[in-house]
Amino acid sequence: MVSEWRRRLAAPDVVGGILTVAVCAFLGWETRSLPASSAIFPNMVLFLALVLGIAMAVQGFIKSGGKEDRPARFFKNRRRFFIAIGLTVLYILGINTLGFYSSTAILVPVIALVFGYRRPLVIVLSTIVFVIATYLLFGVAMDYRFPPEFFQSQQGGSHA
Amino acid sequence: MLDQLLHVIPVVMQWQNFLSILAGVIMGIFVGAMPGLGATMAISVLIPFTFGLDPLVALGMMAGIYNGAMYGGSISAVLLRIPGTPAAVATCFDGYPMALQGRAAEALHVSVVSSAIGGMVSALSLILLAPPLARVTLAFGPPEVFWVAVFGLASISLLMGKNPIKGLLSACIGLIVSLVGADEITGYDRFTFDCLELVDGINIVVLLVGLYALPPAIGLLEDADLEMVVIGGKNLAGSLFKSIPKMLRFWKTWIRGSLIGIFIGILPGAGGSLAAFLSYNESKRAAKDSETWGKGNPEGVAAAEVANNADTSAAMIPALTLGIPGTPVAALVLGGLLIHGMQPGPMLFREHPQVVYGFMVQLFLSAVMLLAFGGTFATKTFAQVLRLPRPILAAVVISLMVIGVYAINNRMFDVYLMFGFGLVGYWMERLDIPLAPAVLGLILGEYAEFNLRLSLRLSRSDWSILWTRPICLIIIALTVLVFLWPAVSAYREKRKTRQSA
Repeated sequence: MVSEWRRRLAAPDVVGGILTVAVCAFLGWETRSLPASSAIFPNMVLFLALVLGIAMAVQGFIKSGGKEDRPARFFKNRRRFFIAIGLTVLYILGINTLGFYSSTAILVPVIALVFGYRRPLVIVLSTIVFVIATYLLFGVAMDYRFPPEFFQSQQGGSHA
Repeated sequence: MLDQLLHVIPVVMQWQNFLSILAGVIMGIFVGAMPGLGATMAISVLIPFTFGLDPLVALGMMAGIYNGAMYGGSISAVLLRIPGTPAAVATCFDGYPMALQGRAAEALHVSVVSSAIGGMVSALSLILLAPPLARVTLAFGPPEVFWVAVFGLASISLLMGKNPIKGLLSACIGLIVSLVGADEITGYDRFTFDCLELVDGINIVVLLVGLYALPPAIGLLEDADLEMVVIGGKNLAGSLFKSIPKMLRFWKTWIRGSLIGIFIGILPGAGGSLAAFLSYNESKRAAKDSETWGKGNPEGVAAAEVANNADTSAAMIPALTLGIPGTPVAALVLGGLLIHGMQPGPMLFREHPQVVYGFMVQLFLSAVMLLAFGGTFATKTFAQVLRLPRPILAAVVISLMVIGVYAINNRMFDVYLMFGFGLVGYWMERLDIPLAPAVLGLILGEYAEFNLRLSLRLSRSDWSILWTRPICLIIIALTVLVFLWPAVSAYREKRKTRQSA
């Protein structure tokens, strides 16, 4: 019985609803210091979102109890999701430390290899073509300035 | 109206505008053909790069992507039985059996001609219907505009997704994001948490790219398939223009599908997939050889494709005149207008006629261009898109997202924010919470709040101004109808099930 309740409380809709309620309560608390005219619209929206969060959690709880209507799995593939997110975070952090082009030159082959693509020529060619095309299009033609590469001086962005 | 149109045609035909539509059509077919991507992702990735462009050049590219992606979706539907876009599901029914019979080229030719016809008819409907509607909406004051925003949010939230609670919650998420930053009237910071980067509010592009582009990129990596096996991809020879005379017998299907597509497009929250299904069903019912449908009848492909393209420009009718988009792509186009300083809604036609009329002509031109790019060579080339390794494609999309968002303010903070919204977008997708209401919430949030506050100021804080004016009452009645609709349709569904049992 306890495990059944625990399972139903862990249904994605229930967790999502509870999370929504918590965020709304927190943001509602933040509006205390605002004058009435600034707070009126945010409070209307937050109240509505709070009610909807509760409704979603209740609906999810009821649905997860039905034998035929079990909640769908949240992740399509949990392991692949976390690897993809981890690599994206590393890439974003890498842009600040290694520079945009260096990080991109690492990202493309690493993602390809980690996710099981094993044709080295295609990987190398794709990486080179993409990095050069990005540099020519955004760095040269559109004059975008990204964080500098690790081998450049730290002053100013890389002309790229 | 005619004056404005005649005035704008030479501007649209300038080389940079023409080129942008062309590039958009090619990009649209490319991403539309790739299952898991689609027009919404392509436009959301593209929007940041249009900042520095002339609004017509930017909108031309979006028009091209929109129509191109709708056709592109049929390439994978025919060759793989995987619709590149949700609107191409009905195309699989007859397109894939045709490919198995070695008639892939014929299926794709029927698809491109039908798509082009649907797109052109839809653009004409936009040109004819939007300006008179815009004139009517000019009579709206602040209370009416506030209710139009509420009606738009309610209809998108309640009609777009399967679950009204989740649709409304999505709209609230967008509204909350729109409130971040300094209040323009009192100067107080709202939800900034003493973070200086948030004082100016959250740029709509950051939300668009995060919500619409990161989840499909992650989705490409979550799927185990590295490359796809193209069936019937070798049988793509044959001239498009030589096969057009044989298709003329589909004229009734084209007219029926176009009308269905336009009607569905105007309805907020419906969309291309519904239009394609309805058109397919109605045409099958009317056909004398209905037993051959689903087994490789080219008329089935024509019925589905003409309707899903007829929906594209029609969805822009409520979007441009009232600020209520009929489809997620229309919501993105509204975002595109916003970043170029144009507020969608009643005043758009008066303040920026050249851009609005120009955009309508561009939608028509992009449909015409489909014919030029749906020939044998192009179809063969785009079919190769399906062979691109998915992990490499995902890495390219992630990198383009970072470039686009970073370039807005030249700061990494926006990239972090975009990544956060991407995770929220993934969470919303997995919980079946529709994304479009959130985008519309961000677009309309500031607009709704401004008009609510202006109404209250005009009435000296008398709230009855919101429900005593006749147009307000009409819009309120429509909003109530929209709120009741899910309950009514659920009741009808139950009754139908009970009767059939």
